[in-house]
This record gives sequence, structure tokens and C-alpha cells, in this order.
Amino acid sequence: MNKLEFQQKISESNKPVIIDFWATWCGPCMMTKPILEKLGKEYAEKVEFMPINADDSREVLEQFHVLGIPTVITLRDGKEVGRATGSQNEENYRMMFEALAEGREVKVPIAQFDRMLRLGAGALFIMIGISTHNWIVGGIGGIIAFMGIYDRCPIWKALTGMFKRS
Amino acid sequence: MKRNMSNTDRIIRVVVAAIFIGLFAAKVVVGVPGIVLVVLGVVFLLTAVIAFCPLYVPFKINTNK
Repeated sequence: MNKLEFQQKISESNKPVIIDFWATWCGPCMMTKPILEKLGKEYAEKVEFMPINADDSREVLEQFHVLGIPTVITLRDGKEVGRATGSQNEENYRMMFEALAEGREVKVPIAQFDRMLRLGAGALFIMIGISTHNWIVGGIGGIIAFMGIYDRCPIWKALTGMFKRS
Repeated sequence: MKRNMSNTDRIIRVVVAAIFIGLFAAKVVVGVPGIVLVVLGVVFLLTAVIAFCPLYVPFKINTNK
């Protein structure tokens, strides 16, 4: 699909769009593809699901500056409102579909690998901090670990919610 | 800010950062070399967490392929 064909497809759709950039050689893409297809069917009335083969659509990839796949991009009125790079679980993709369908802000969830990397790195630095009695290193570890779970922390949600309201 | 770093790249950076900061924290490397290691370690750690390396941009390197 070239840039023009893609633009035409987008303009024809009066619904918000979810694009899935995938390729046959990409293992994680093949794992997430059935999940996205299932969700695409489920939300077909409210959201247009558009899988795009990255190998056949280089122009579209460049247009969106997609550097790695799988990448899922959400569009509302032709404008990008969210992007998830890397494979996500079904729950995270469902959140994106739901937010788009209901006209809410699309919050891009933390990918499972990112969560594990942040928690792992955080734990590693906390251990280094404790074993060397260096509390700054331990503190850095704590911050990194928190970055892996902040989206599930009710205190963080309440605090950021307060700032957004004010 | 788009990702330009693969997961393997990120894991390596975390491990290298841990070694660098660990060396300083354990007082194996002290003084100016130690501070250099800490700065490098923090940069590695931050870039690994956000999956983006600004230095890759001018050289058009992208390990996330």
C-alpha cells in the first residue's frame, strides 16, 4: 500500500482508526496479530482496524516514522493520538480499542517487556545500593522499579489526577 | 520520541550500567574515573529505560529492527 492509497482509505473511514504494522518474519507481530484481529472484529462498529504489512508499505511506515514492529498507532480524525511499540498483552490492546471507541484519551500502556526490564533493573540497583550501603544507588533503583508499575499505583493515579484537574 | 533500541541492546545497557555504578558504589573505582563511570552508568540506564539513544540519531543507527 502506498501513501496515497493509505490516505484515501483513512479519509473514507468516518471512524477512529487503529493501524497494526506487522510483518510475516516478525515473531512478536505474529503473536499479537490474532489478538488484534479479534479485537478489531469485536470493536468493528466503532473502530476501523487496519493491519498494514510493513514490507509492502514502506511509504506509510516512513510517514509515521515507524522504526520497529509491532507498532500499533491510533488515529482520530486522521491525527495520531496514541502509539504502542512492541508487543502488548490483550488487556493493553483492549484498553486502546476501548478508549478510542469511547472517545476517551488513549493512554498507551507499558509493554510487558518494558515493565519487566524496569522492575529487573530497579531490583538490581536496589540490591547494589543495599550491599554497598549506597542509598543514592538504592534510590535510583527504587525510581526505576517504580517506573515499571506507576500505571498501576493508586497513589500515583490520584496525584496525577489532581494535577490534571487543577 | 521514537524507539531506536532493541530489547537486547537495552538489557546489555542495564547490565553495563549496573557494573559501572556497582564498581563506584563498592569503591573499586573512585575519584574522577568513578564519577565518569557513574555518569555513563546513569546515561546507559536512562536510555535503556526509555528505549531511545539520542547518539544513535545523527549516525542513523537503529537497533530496533
